[in-house]
Amino acid sequence: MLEIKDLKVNVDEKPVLKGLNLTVKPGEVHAIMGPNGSGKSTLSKVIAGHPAYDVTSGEVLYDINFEMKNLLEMEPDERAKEGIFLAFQYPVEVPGVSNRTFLRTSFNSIVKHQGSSELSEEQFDEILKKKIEIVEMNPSFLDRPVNVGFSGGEKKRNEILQMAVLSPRVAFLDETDSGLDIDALRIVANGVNKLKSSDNAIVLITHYQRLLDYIEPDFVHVLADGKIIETGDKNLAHKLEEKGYDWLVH
Amino acid sequence: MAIFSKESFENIEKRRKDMGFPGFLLEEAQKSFQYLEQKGLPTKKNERYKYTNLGFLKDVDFVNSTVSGEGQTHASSANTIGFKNGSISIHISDSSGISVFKLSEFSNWPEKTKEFFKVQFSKFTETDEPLEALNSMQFEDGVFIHISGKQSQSLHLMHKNSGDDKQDSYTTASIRNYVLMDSNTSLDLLEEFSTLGRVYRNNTFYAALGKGARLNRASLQGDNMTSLGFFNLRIKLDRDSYLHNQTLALGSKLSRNNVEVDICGENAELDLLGAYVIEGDQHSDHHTTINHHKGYSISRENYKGLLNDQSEAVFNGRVYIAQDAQKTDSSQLNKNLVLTERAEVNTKPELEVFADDVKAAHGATVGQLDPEELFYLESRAIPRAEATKMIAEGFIKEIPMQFPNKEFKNLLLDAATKKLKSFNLEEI
Repeated sequence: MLEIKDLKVNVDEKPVLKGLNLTVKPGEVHAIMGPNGSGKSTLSKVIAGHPAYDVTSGEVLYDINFEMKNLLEMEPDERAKEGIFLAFQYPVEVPGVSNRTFLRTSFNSIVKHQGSSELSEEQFDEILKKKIEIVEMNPSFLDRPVNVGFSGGEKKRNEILQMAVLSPRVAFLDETDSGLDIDALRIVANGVNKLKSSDNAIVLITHYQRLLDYIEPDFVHVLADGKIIETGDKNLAHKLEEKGYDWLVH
Repeated sequence: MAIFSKESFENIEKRRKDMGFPGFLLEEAQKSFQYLEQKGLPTKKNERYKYTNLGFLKDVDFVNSTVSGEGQTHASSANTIGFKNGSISIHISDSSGISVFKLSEFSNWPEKTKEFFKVQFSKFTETDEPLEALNSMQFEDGVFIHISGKQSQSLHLMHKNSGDDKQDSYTTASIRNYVLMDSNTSLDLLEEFSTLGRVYRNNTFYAALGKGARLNRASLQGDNMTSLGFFNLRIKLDRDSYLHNQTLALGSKLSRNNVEVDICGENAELDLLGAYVIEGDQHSDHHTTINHHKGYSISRENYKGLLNDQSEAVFNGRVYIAQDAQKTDSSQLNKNLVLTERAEVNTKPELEVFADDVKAAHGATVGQLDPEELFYLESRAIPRAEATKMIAEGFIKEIPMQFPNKEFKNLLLDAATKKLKSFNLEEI
């Protein structure tokens, strides 16, 4: 459903991705691991459509109604409406906008795009009640401004809550495990597992093998110096945990 | 007719004398006329009008209203006083403890009321503010509102003026209102402006708060885009009193608000707030002065601006803390969000602190939308223009949200949101 072909991306005129290939099919869980600065976060931002990244060549094809479309030509909101989701490594604070309003506006924007009618505040609240249980979040967070004053763990939970509300087809989770204690990690991972289905795909971008104890990947890729240099199953992650990345890079 | 001439002033003076205006107001008008004759209308050479040149007013023709129709104000459940092209209609419930007297009927006022009025307000008369002087010599009528009841009251002043957009002239509307609050009384006041067609309105509002009195006042300025909107506010606070004053400036091609609060008693507290939401060629100028004459008092000032297109805003916040006003706690903030590179903000704090044991904080910012905030919302399927409006609304509504009266707060929020929703954001 998503095909990344020979993707090359510059940031501030410096090449960061140098010919990346990745194919993701429905029902799959991929893990992308790699050392700092290898381009992991760049990949996720480019998929979501961040304007600061300059794609110099390659393409990203995405299956929309059985037709492979060029994702890179779409605006970020259009990508989200078609089911692309990025859980941010550093979720952004949006002062003055309540989490509840934000979630409903976002949800209704997608629903409208799909040709259904938008939900009223009451109708949406019913849905939201069930979704916050998935991430074991205190409902008081819904009436606070988006991410403002949230702890690192609360922000990450809020990302997964958004994923639960928006039901994306392809979700990139960028270092969602970083900064989480073991309980928060378990909650976030459980949330992701509940949202996993045979229709959607999840791409976990992570530094550590730890997350993969909770969310089992079908494929593990090693990203180094802007390219995927190794692909294996979950055993590759264990090997990386033991040996580090050096044996692959050199 | 010209904005001021000897002939037009003498006409007004004669009319006022016939109606029996109080002597001190006639004297004040005389002084104001002389002041303007001598100094002229303020231009860029006047430091306080550096960014708002009013020199053009002398070449503009002013007429009295002959147009039917009126601006639209919001409905509310409060007591109301309507000001429509110079005529005043008063709807106050008998049990409210609110007494209202028209200035034009001064000769019929009870002697005691005349006395109260003179004692409180003859002291307000000296001014170095040209727009206030203009109002002083021009105002057609106004009311004296006396709050004496023990129950908290709400009052809605509705200014609905109409002019003619097809003419080059401006229809004038100059009203002057006075509010006297007895000790420990409480009032929620919404003053709303709505104009139809080209109107020049220049109003003043004077209030004196007795010991322990509480006034929550909001000024909702929703004039149409061809109008000139000027407002002069002066309020005195006695000890233990509280004032929340907020200005929500949405309308007018050119507007200027002069706000001055005198803290004349210890333990008085002030929240001075403002929000301007402007677009197109609008120019919105806010000059505020807070005078801490007495110590152990608190002032919190917060003005926020949201600017689209090539609109311009001016904020000048003067805070004076007298030598005796020890333990004063004063803070001032002016934050601006500009949605385009063409919009312009001139912001300036002016602190004059003569006491040594005080807190006096101030800060000002002018910034554009944070691209990371925008991208975050876009990545959640919210189109750019809508995301911009959400962030902008979150930014500006902090001000109306703080208004203590729920009914008026909702009117203010609705008006601010409605203005913002009308913004054209295609170029962003």
